[in-house]
Amino acid sequence: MRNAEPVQPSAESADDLAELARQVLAGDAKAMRAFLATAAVPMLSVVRRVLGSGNPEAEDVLQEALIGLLDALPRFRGESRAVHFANRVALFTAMAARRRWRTRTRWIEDHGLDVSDVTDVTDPDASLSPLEATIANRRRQALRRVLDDLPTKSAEVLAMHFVLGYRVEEIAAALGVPVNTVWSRLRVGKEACLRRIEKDAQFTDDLARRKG
Amino acid sequence: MNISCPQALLGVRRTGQLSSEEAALLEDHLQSCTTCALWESLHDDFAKGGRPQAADEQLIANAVEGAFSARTGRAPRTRRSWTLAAAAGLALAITGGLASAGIWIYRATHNTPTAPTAAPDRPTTRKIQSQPRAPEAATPEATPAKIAVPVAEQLTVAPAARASARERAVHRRVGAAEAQPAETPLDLATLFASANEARRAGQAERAGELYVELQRRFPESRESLLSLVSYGRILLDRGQPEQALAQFERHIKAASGGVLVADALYGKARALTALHREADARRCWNELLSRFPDSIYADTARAQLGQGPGAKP
Repeated sequence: MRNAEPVQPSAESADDLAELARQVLAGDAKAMRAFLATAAVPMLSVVRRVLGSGNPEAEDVLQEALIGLLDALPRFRGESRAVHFANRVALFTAMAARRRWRTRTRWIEDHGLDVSDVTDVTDPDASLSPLEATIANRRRQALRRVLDDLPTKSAEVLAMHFVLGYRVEEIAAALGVPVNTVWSRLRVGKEACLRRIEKDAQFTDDLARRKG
Repeated sequence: MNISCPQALLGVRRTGQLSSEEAALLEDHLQSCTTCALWESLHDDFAKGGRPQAADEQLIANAVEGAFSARTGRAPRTRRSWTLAAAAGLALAITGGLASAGIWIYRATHNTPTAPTAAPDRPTTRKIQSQPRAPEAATPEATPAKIAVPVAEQLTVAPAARASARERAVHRRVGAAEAQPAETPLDLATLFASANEARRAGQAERAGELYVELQRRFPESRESLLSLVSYGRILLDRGQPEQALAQFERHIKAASGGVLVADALYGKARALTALHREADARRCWNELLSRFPDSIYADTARAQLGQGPGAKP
């Protein structure tokens, strides 16, 4: 089974990022540039997964996330790998950006246009047929919509689970909340996701065609 | 999903730590439980999505420069911007090597003199505030008319849609290039950034003009070297394979081992194919495969050579 972290650095490189983080905290401006360049690659991956891979705001959101990472760095205590810390900052920044963006564009959808549909581009994946790629896209879009609409705490848990690939115990540790709380929020999110998918008649048709 | 669904096993499965008995139990369950199968599919969907590509190197470099400038108050550095782009490309090309790229920059910056800074009144990247942006009210009618840049009319914006931050950035940068008086030539960094922005905004003609100007005025610069690949792609898309081929060949010759050589070889092979020079194209696909067997173009090269996507060269 594939791990959900797409750009998985080696243990050595993870230590390198943590070491750079320490130097940034010590006030080394040159280390800051290297730290940002190192963290930016996995963070862009997270940003794209949240916004949709064809979203033209990715660069702005990545920059905002990098600034957010620098701001959050004093709170990094080394309990997790530095790259996971950076990915969480990217996740929450992208979710917030997407909510802002959705607010602006919701009116377009009221006029029959689906902005998220046109900005989600599936990465080339030779293992998927065109139909499977379409279905995968629809599943991603359904989850993103749910993330837009859910209460923030449930949305964060749902996103950490599916977008970052965290297990429940890992989410609980990262957020500092009991495991049962995570299960509860995750259940709320999953139920909302199921409702969204069930409402998508086209998605259901695609599934039926695939099964057929 | 119901109470009997082995949800904990689903999480452990992704770590590869299930026993064979547990794995078999879970497989049986996934065959019969469409809801759990859906969650597994969602995990896979997001694991596959969003991977940065080689073409993202400039985007990453821009974001890094913007964040660095916003935090330090320093103007972005032209040469360093190229270095960051190269490092990002390197990190993208080598899975697991992203930190090495950053470390390389760090060590390089500690051992080499700093590059001259760009003129502070003409930064190559925009700065944004570190504070989260306040939620913007849904006033779609407000923005397009407020974008007072010369290029605004040329970009297609939905009549009542609010322009995205990305669009505004494109307007600013490309607009800055167009607004320059003829007697005030753009500096190298601005020229390169403007050309890239125009290309990404789909303004191929404008991007081509800027790349040509860049190559003419700064022929020895690293930006000029990179622009050969970008402009080559534009020419290829425009149906000018002969001119595109010249761009790609110049890059391959000048950049002995740069991050875009694989891209240039890929473009060269496509240009040769378009020119019906099949034997030359075949040699080029072979060179691409032998020099960059793990590049994102390797499967295409194998397919072109009739070796099948999974075959080794």
